[in-house]
Amino acid sequence: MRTDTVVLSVAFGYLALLFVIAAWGDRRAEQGRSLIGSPTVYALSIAVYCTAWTFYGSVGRAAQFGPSFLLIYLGPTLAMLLSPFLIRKMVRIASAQRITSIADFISARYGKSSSLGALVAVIALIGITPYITLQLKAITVSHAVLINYPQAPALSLVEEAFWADKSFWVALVLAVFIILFGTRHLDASERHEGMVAAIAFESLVKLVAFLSVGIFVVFVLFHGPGDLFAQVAASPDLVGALGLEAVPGGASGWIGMLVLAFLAFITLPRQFQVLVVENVDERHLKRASWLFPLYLLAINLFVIPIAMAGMLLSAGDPDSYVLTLPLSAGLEALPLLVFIGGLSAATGMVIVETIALSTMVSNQLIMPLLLRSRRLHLGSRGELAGWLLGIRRVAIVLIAPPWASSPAP
Amino acid sequence: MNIPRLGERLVALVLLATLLFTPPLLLVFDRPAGGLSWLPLYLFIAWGTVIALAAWLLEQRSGE
Repeated sequence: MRTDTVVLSVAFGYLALLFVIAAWGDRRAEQGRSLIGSPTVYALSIAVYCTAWTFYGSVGRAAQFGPSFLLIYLGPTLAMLLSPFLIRKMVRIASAQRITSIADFISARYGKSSSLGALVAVIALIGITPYITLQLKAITVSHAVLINYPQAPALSLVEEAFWADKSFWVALVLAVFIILFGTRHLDASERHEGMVAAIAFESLVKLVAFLSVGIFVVFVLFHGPGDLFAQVAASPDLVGALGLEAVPGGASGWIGMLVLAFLAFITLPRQFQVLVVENVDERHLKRASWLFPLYLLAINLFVIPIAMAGMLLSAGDPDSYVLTLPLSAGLEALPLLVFIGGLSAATGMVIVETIALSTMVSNQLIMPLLLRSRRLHLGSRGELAGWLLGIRRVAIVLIAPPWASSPAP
Repeated sequence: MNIPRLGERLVALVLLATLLFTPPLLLVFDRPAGGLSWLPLYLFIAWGTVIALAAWLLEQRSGE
């Protein structure tokens, strides 16, 4: 069942489903019966915060640094509790001034300084493009683990031609998705209802996948949490693994990470996109300010048990425990579900981040230059809109997809 | 947002959450009892309590 054909058809079938959901969301928006007019969908779309790094990496981090991974989620919890003030204000400013990205927002705070906006766009572009690559790499690695188990994944990334790398094709499909649902029409508010519906669905998929593997590990591989932690306590190597001594930087490192996670949550381009730009009704913030933290708590509930179980059973690389633990028990369907969960976490991030970055590149970097040059007579609005969409589509193909997935040395 | 003094209550909740999630209080639970640190369990309970309080605060009088 774990043949390449099955895995690939399930994976690309899943991507096809995303197209269907996004198309449905866009059609409902045109009919005025919005699919995303619910605070629950809004809260789920914010969960694009949880990337493949959360899905695979949290367990690895818990195995190495104890409970410090929780800070990445406690910071946003604090930020969301403040959202009825903080983010509501950002939403109001953004809709009053027709702000389309975090770069636009920051430049508007300083008197619409176009050079500041461009600077923020450049920083975001440099800082976040490698992060997109990491998501695509996570797809390649998890696919290799799934196919090659019980052998260690033979990652011949460097020798492999780029078209043999599965994540190249995933990236290509994503580029098509983003162009279709991210730049279909030009709208002053830059809202993409179909895309948001698909992202909310992806958040559900990754949560269900992670909870399934967590329940399997705790209640099937072990006899409940009591049994698991009794075995951890009895193992001399693992006794210190849960305390503050495992956290890098100790108590002050703890506070630093918490502040950083708080700030990252409100300034990451993809979070600004879903929190502020895609917000359809500011009353949704009320529900999201506790439902989103609850989502974070749920997706983290089984991280420590899985990390401890993986170390007790020495299941290979900690970053792949979520796959190797069910694989080692001889299961077939659960590892496939986990792979799809990881795929949904990675693709959600790539989609929203690319839309946010391409908006920034076109509005803050390229358009100001074009408007300044006198050889192009960009007078009429229609012409301008055409240029804007064209630039954005080129930016999408350049930012994320194919080239970024080419193997890093 | 027409709940009386919602603002003050939310700010108080955020202050409480910050206090619960940061060291002085955290260190109390980082004692190895029975071999393992109670820190993760404490964090999840504190986190869950904060979320429950927020839900209760924000969802009462949902007739808005």
